[in-house]
Amino acid sequence: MTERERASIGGLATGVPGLDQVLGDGIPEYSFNLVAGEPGTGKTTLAQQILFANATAERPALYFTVLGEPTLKMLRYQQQFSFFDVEAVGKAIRFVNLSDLALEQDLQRVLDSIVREVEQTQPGLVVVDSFRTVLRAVAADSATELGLQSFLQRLAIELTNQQVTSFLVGEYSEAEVHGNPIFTVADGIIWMMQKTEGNASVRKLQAVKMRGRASIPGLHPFRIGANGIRVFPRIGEVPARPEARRSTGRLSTGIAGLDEMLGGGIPVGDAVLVAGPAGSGKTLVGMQFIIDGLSQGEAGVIAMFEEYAEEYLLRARTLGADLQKSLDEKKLHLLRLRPLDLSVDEVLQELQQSVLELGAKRVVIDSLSGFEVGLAMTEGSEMRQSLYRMIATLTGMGVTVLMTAEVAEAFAPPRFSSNAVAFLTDDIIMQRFVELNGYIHSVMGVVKMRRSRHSRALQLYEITPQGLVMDMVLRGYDGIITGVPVQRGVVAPPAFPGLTGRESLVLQSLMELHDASGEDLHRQTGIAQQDLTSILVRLVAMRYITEAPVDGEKQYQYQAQPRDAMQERIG
Amino acid sequence: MDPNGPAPAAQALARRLMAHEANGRTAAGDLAAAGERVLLRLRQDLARVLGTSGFSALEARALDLARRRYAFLGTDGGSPHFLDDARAALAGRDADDARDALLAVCGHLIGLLVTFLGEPLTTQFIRLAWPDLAGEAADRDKKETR
Repeated sequence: MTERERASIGGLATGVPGLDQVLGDGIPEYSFNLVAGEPGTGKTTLAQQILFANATAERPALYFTVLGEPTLKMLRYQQQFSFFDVEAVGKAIRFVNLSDLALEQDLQRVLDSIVREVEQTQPGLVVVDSFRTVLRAVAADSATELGLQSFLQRLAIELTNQQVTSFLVGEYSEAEVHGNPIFTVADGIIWMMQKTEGNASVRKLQAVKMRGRASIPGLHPFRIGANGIRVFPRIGEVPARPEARRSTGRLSTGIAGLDEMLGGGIPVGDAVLVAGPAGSGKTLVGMQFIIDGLSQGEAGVIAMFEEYAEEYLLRARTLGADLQKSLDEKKLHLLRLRPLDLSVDEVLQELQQSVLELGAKRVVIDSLSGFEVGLAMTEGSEMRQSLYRMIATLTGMGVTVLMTAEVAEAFAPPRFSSNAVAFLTDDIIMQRFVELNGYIHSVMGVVKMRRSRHSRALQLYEITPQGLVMDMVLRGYDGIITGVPVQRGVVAPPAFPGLTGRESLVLQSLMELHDASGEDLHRQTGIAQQDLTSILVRLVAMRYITEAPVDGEKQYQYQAQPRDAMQERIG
Repeated sequence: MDPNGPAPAAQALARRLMAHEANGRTAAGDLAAAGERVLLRLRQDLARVLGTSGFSALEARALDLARRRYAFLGTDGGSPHFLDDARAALAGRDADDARDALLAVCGHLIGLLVTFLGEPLTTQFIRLAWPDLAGEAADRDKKETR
């Protein structure tokens, strides 16, 4: 059969942001669909949003209510959504209550009533809400010839023949899927669910089945807000990053000195991680990166999970940057994302949308640590995989992504993140606090750069009112990244200058005993009496100890020494 | 304002609907009959949307509220339609009482719809039940302007 001979299946835009993408290309025309899920998952809202987006006075929609939620309440609550157009009620969307018929458990009459209304109204869309209550009536009606299968078949045939796209809304649990004829008869099944863990809950939907459409598999997060439902399609397979799309150019960080360390700046399309302890200036690096882009006419997006927008703008102002102006001019988007029940797909969707809207070249995610905290617990377990999808998608769009991550250990070798983000990023900039001569200093180093040469030096920097300013390279120290460096080539002063190991041992023993005889010290140290005598003579001569006769026996005492006297002895 | 009466806006709309149904007749008896027709038409249209039992519950509540001011409307007689009980209660009352009591019932019913559905959606349902009412109001406004 040629392409031309095949029946074409038109698509109906759902009017639910993100849902058309999930379903493949909207709802297939004249399909018989089931919107299923547990109570409170948003089934009625989804159905009504689709109706209000599609129904017209010429091609109206019929909304049959059957028991379930009282219609009065349903209308009371649904009109709170912006999609609910009061003017459309009774004209484009006609509500018909079949509760009385359902109560009579007369399914033939329910079916006849639906068919009669459909024939009279000639609607383009039909919703039966809640269809589950009809089926419960079927169970009670099992003595009649109209079995469930027959009822469904007839309903599906009648609605399709009338060229109606229909939605049966029903409360089902996942356990009820198997062996239920409705799941076989339906052309499409949209499953809605709400997962709660701890104090956070995430709503997700799944296109379990969508005949004639290549729907995106998996669970897709969605939110119910003032505008109704918004779906955040989960990106399934992330294609390998298109190398060809990646420019060979570099972007300045806006921090003189750091660009040099990075071999001339951040390669365009890279994902950079700035890792450091709290207060090390990670946010500032991101801010200066964005400000630099804006100064060159490059739009940017900042996703914030910790700081408030007002505070962020205020901090930028101290650097001389009017980010409010950039926001007003649509050169910058500041996404303050709601914490504790986020899903990665939602964040990614917001970021993607902002990037596309602004044509942004730079994205800052501040911080991954906050992002991780903000994720719903159910999402946290997939953090690494989700981050991979997010980074790959953004950089695949040619965007350069700078992420910050908090390293908990301020004075210990750093671990870059609990989710091995380091593995996912192209470049890593490390910030550390180091203690030098009793002062805390900040150093920065470029730990990793894929496909690029970079400085290996650790460089001091300062956080000033003008931003982060790079200072000199920290030379002559070892163990800088431990936070407590040691100056190279300098041997630590000995505890007892001028003494041999055995002499030090005797002195330490005497310090412990306070005063002791030669015999005491022999027992304490195990040094032979003869050797011990010469050691004690030398210690007395060097004024580390004193000796005095007590009951005819020499008693020794430690003599505290001023440091200069020790130095004198060292010579 | 009568503390037991319907909200003024709902009362005004009920009065307008009764006047519309009375078709220019102003006698108390005609208006009382018009009040019954208003209630019947509301039932006919809204029971289709809200369900018979759903709308009956609203009617019963409206009658209950009206009884606070018009005690002669009596108690629930258990009739399938509250109007039957109301009619029985109104039998033998003078026309003015009947008109006022039915106006109160209509006003309370509209007031309840406004409470639950909001003013815009209630107005939409009333417009759908009396499609010629909007045109009539427009004509009246034009005349008043002249």
